[in-house]
Amino acid sequence: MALTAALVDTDTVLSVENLSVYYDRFLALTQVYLNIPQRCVTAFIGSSGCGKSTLLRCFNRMNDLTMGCRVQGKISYRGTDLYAPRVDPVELRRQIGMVFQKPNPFPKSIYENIAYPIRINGYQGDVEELVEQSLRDAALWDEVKDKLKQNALSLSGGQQQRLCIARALAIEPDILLMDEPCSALDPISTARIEDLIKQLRTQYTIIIVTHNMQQASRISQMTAFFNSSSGEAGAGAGYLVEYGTTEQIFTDPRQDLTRDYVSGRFG
Amino acid sequence: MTQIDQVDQSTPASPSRFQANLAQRYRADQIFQTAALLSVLIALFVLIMLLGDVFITGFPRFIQDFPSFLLSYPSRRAAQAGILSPLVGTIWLLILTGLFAIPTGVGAGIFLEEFAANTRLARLIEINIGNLAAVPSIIYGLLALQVFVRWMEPITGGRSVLAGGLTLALLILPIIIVATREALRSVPNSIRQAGFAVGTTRWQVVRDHVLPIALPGILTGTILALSRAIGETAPLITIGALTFIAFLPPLSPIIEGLRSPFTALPIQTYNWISRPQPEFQNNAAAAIVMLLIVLLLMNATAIYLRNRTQKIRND
Amino acid sequence: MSENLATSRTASRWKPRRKWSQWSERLVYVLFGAFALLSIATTAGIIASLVFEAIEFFKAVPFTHFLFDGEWTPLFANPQYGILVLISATLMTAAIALCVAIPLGLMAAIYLSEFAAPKLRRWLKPSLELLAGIPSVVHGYFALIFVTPILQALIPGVEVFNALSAGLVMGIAILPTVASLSEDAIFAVPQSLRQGAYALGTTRREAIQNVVLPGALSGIVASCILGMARAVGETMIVTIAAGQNPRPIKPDLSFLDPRLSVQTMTSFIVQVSQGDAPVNSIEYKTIFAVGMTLFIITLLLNIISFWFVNRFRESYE
Repeated sequence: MALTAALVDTDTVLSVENLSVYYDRFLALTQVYLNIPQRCVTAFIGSSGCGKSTLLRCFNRMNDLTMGCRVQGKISYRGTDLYAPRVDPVELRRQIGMVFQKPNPFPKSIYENIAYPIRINGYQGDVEELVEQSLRDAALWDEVKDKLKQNALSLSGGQQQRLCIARALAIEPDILLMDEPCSALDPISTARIEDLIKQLRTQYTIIIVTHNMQQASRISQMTAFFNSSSGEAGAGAGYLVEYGTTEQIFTDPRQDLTRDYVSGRFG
Repeated sequence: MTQIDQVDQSTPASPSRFQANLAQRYRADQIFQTAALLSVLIALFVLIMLLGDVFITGFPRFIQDFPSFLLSYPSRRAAQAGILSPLVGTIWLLILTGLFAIPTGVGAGIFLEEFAANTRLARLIEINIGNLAAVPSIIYGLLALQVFVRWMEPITGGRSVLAGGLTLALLILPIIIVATREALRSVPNSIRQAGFAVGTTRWQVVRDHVLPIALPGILTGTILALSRAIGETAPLITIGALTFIAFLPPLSPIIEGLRSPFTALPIQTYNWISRPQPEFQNNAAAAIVMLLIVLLLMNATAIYLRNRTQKIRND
Repeated sequence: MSENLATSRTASRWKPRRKWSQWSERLVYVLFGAFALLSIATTAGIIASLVFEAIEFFKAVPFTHFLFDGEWTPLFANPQYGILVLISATLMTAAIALCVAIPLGLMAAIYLSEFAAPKLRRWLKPSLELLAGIPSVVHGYFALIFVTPILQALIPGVEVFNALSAGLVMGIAILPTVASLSEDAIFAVPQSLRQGAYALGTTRREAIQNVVLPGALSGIVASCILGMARAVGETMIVTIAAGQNPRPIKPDLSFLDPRLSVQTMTSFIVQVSQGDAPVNSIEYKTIFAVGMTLFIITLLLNIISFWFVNRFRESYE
C-alpha cells in the first residue's frame, strides 16, 4: 500500500523501513516505508491522530522521552541506524533539530535562547557571531537586534516561533523537523514563516507536519499523505497512504483516499 | 461561585401542584450560610485570642529589659532567665536541618519527577511518603533515639545538636519532596522538549531550564517545612534535648559544636510552662513571642516568594 | 558515540563534552535516586527500631497483660502494663478534638469554597494555614494558661490538668488540617454539577447539601480521618494540659471523665524520655512498645483513609 519508489534522484538522508510505533499496547503507526531526500521540504499531511507527528518524533528520538513508546523497524540516517544502541540521542538531536507546534522559547533573554544550545554543544567559534547569524537566517535579526537582552516571552507569537527556528538553526543541524509550526499563528506570521522555510530549503533538509494542505502545496517538494485505519476518533493505527512529489500528490494522486483528501472531500 | 438572584416570588408561572415553599427554604439557607461564616469567624477568633494572650503576657517580659532576655542563659530565678542558649540552639537546628534536608529532599523530588516519573518505584515512594506524612512526629523521635543517639553515637556524640538536626531533617524530608515535585510539575513540558530538541541531556535540561523556573516554588515549600521543623518539640524531647543549658555549642572546632548537648526555643518554652510559678509562665510566653517572630518572618518570606512567582507567571 | 552518526558538514566546529555530560547524568541519577530511597529507608527504620525494642519489651511483659490489664503503672515498684489505659485516654482526647474540628472545619471549608468572595477567600485560606503553622507547644500553653481557667470557672470539678481543655485546644489545632483538605475536595466538585442542581430549582444550601457535599464525600471523610490521626499522635498539647495521670479502667467509667487528668500514649513517651531512662531498662523498652502501638493505630487510620478515597472517589471525566 505504500509507495517507496525513488521519486526524486537526489541523495536520501533518512530512510524508513517497515516502521511501527506503539504507545504501550496501542499501535499508533504501522508499516511505514519512506525515503526523505536531501535539501528539500517534505510535508506530512493527513487528518489528526494518523501518526504524522509520531513519525516526525522518531527522527530525532523525542519519542524516547515518552513513557511506553516502542519503535519497531528501521530508520537510517545517512546509513546509520538511528535506534542502534550506540547512537547517543543527545548528539542526534544536535544534528536533527526540531521546531514545535507551539512556540516554546526558554523564559530567558532572546540572546540567551540562541546562545544556550551553542554553548552547551561545545561550539568552537565565536558565539556572538553565530547568534547573530542564526537570527539573520531566521529573518528575525532586524526585529530584535536592539533588544537582545529582553525576555523572549515579550516577543509576539510569530516572532517567538522564528526565535525557536533560529534556536534550532544555531546548532547547525543537518535536518530540521517542524511539527505544525504555524498552527498557533495568525495568517501574517504564517506567511513569514513560510517565506523563511522557502529560503532555508536550499541549505537544509526540512520535514514539516501540517494540517494545512495549501501550505503543503506552497512550500514542499515532496508530500506524504497519512491516514488512520478506522478513522473513528483516532482509535486505529496510522499508516502511509501515498508518497510522492507534491505536484503529483496534488494533481495526479494514485489513491482514491488521497484524491478525496486533497480535494477536500474527505470524511 | 454562581449567584442566584432573589427570585420574584410573585411570578405566576409555577403550577399549583408544586408548593415550592420558598420563604422557608430561603430561611434555612440563611441559617446555613450564617453557620458557615460563624465557623470561620470562630476559628479566626480563637487564633486572635491565642496570639493576644501570648503577646499580652509575653511581650512585657520580652521588652522589659530588652535585650537582656535574649542575651541571658536560662536561670533558676525567673527574672534573670533568658533565652540565649535556646535561641542559638534553634538557629543551629535550623541551619543543620536545612543543610541535611534541602539537598536530599530537592534531589529526591527531582529524581521522582524528572528521572523516574510514572515508574513503579516512583509510585511506591509516593505511597510511602503519603504514609510518612501521617506518622506522628514523636515516632520520628523514637527512630532518632535508636539510630542517631544510640547506633551513631560515635559520630553524633549522642544527645547532640547534630542528632537533633538529623532528626528534624528526616521529619521534614517528605514535605520538601512533595513541595519540590509540585513545583517541578508546574513547569510546562514544552520547556523540557525545547531543551531536549537542541541536544542536551536530561540533567542539563533540569539544571538549566526546569529548576530555575521551579526554584521559587521549591523555596516556598522548603521554608514552610523548616518553619514546621523549628516549632517541633516532641521528637527533640525524645532524643533528649536538655532544658537547662548555660553554654553555647563552640564554633571551633565545629565538630565539638556539632556534638555538644543543646536546647531549643520550644523545649525551653515547654520547660517553663511546666513550672508552677507564674513568673516562669511569663517567661514561657516571652519565649513563645520570640518563636512566633521567627516563624512569622519565615512565613512572610515564603508568602512573598509565592506572590512574586505568581506575578511573574501572570506577566 | 557521535562518530557513529554520519557527520554533518559542520561537525568539526562542534566539540561537545558528551563524555562528561553522560558522566554527570549518571552521577546525578544515582545520587538523587539514593536520596529518594531515603524515604523508604525512613519507613523501614521506623518499623525496625520500634519492632526491635518492642520484642525486647514483650520478652519481659506478656502480650496478654499488655493488651488486657486494666492499669498502667510502669514506673511503680509493682508495675502493670495495661495499654488500654493509654489508648482510652488517647481516644478520648482525640474524640473531643474531632467534636470541635469536624463541624467547624467542615463548615469553614464550605464557607471558603461556596460562599466567600474570591478576594476574601484569597485572604482567609492563608490565614487558616497560618493557624496550622502554630507550634503545638504554643497550643499547649494556650490550653493550660487560658482555656483551663475558663473551664474551671464554668464546670465544677475540672482539675488543673484535664482531658477536656487539651481536647478542645487540640481540636483548634487540627481544625486547619480538616478545613483545608475538605475545602480542596469541595472546591474540586465541578461547577457543572452545581449548575445542574440550580437548574432544577434548588437553593444554594440544597445544592451544597444534596449535590456538592456527596460529590466531595470521599475527600471530606479522608480529611477527617487524617485529622484524627493527627489528634492521636499529637503530643505537646496533651502533655502540657492533660497531665500524666493514667486512670485505671474501671466499670464505673471514671477513666473517661474529661474533667480529670489523664495520660495518653504520647505524653507517656515524653514523661519517660524526660527522665533520661537508661538504655536497656524496661522503661526504655516500654516507650518503644507504646510507640509501636501508636504507629499501628495511625497506620490503620491512614490505610482506612486511603481505602476510602479510592473506594468512593468520584471521577468527573
